[in-house]
Amino acid sequence: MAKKDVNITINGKEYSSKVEPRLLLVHFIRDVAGLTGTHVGCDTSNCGACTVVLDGKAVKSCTVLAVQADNKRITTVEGLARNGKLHPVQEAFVDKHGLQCGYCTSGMLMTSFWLLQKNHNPTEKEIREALSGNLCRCTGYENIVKAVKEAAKEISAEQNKDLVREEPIEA
Amino acid sequence: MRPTEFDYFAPGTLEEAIGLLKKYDDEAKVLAGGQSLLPLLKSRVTSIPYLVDIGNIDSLTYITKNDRALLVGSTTKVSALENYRNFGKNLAILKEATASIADPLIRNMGTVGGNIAHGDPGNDLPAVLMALDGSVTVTGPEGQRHVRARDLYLDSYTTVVKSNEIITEVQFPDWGTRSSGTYIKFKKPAGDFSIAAIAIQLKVNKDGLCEKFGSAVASVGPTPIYLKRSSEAMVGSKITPMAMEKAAEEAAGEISPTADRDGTVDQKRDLVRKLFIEGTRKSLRKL
Ligand SMILES: Cc1cc2nc3c(=O)[nH]c(=O)nc-3n(C[C@H](O)[C@H](O)[C@H](O)COP(=O)(O)OP(=O)(O)OC[C@H]3O[C@@H](n4cnc5c(N)ncnc54)[C@H](O)[C@@H]3O)c2cc1C
Ligand code: FES
Ligand code: FES
Repeated sequence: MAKKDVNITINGKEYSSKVEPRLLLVHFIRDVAGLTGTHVGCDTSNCGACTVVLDGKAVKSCTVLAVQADNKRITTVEGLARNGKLHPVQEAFVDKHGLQCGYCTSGMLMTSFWLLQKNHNPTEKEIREALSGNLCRCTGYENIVKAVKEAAKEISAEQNKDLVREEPIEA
Repeated sequence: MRPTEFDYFAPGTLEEAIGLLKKYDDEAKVLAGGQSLLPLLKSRVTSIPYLVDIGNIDSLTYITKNDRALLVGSTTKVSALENYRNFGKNLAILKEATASIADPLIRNMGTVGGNIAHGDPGNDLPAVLMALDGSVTVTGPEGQRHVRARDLYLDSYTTVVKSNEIITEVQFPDWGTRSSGTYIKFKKPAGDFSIAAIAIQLKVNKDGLCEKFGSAVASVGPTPIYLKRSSEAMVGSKITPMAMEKAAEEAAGEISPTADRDGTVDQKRDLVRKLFIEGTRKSLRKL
């Protein structure tokens, strides 16, 4: 079976490799790029631990082939902080105790990041709906929802241009 | 788990994609969003030697309107359709149905064409397309043909679309003034699929008589099912509680559910009867 050349930009950095077409994006991110913040939980498209932002949209990277992401841009949890400063959504998860074991957290952060890019002021219902593909076995979700609300406030307060990503955010 | 090995192609044009499907025929399959196919490949329920990814064919991604229907290119993401702003009340059913599919992350990858083509009786868009009496354009080596949604499904995961053909467009008809509809999904306790779901679309004339009625169900048979007898029974008279009860009774008899951990055959028939009435009432309220 022919291997394929892929070139994927992750957090602004290009990664090129020859891969088997069956390689999953999550394994490209973890094993080829060496970015292990993105987790594999269920491996069956249910839990969202593997969530990354692909071309402006949050997706489950265990259910995407690396070859499908060829020439595309990805943001992973490692790409949220800027200049050593955590992204407001990360700060808010710390402040509001939005995590316990942390296994789901990178996925929760990426979906929340995507939500807040397209909707600066989400209602509780919108937050819960956006996070409905991300499962957490520890927190009971309450503190995660509080964290996302807090992050939304923080982001509108800061109006920090630095936080606006160059990727177009869709849907 | 990882899929068994396969060769992968990412053609940039429809012609190339059809050429590849023709070349590898039964050994090849279209890959759209992968949100149904990749889980099947990963669990090795299936293995496919050649995957033809249609995700890079830009000409297949669009949402437009003509005077009769909303036209959706097959690789349009479900989330893009969900966020379409001009459904109006005539096509409100599409907003409800798309928002009920899986979760936002899967809707960001999964495509409208894939949802229709997959042939899982639990998929949500087929029932909507059947209720609306919509159709798909299918393109293959011999050119294009149109297939009515009500004639599309043969069995579970089996449609009339051949292995060298691609669904290129999905047409959701606009029923015009005094029409509306709804999608009601009775979900399983875990996961996103339904125990039963119903799509209802109706249109009344100036005197309040039912002019057109379409209903279809998901998850209660080997395929999505157009409720022909009950839909036809509603047409031509006022939509009274009695008329609804009678047609709903008919609907319960038109499905072929199986008993499983989600319910007995009788419970599922009863569920569809109730969904039919609830859906009709809700559609009427939206007029
Ligand atoms: C956890 C989970 C929950 C889900 N819940 C729901 C749900 O509640 N409701 C629901 O409706 N769906 C649900 N789905 C399925 C999801 O909506 C899929 O995206 C959809 O069924 C298939 O679309 P796709 O673009 O991902 O297709 P793919 O997975 O790429 O393809 C599916 C099949 O269709 C064929 N195909 C795809 N596009 C075409 C085309 N244009 N022409 C011809 N053949 C084509 C492929 O060859 C393949 O056989 C769920 C999926 C997961 C993983
Ligand atoms: S690991 Fe991808 S959804 Fe669970
Ligand atoms: S913090 Fe443990 S799974 Fe969410």
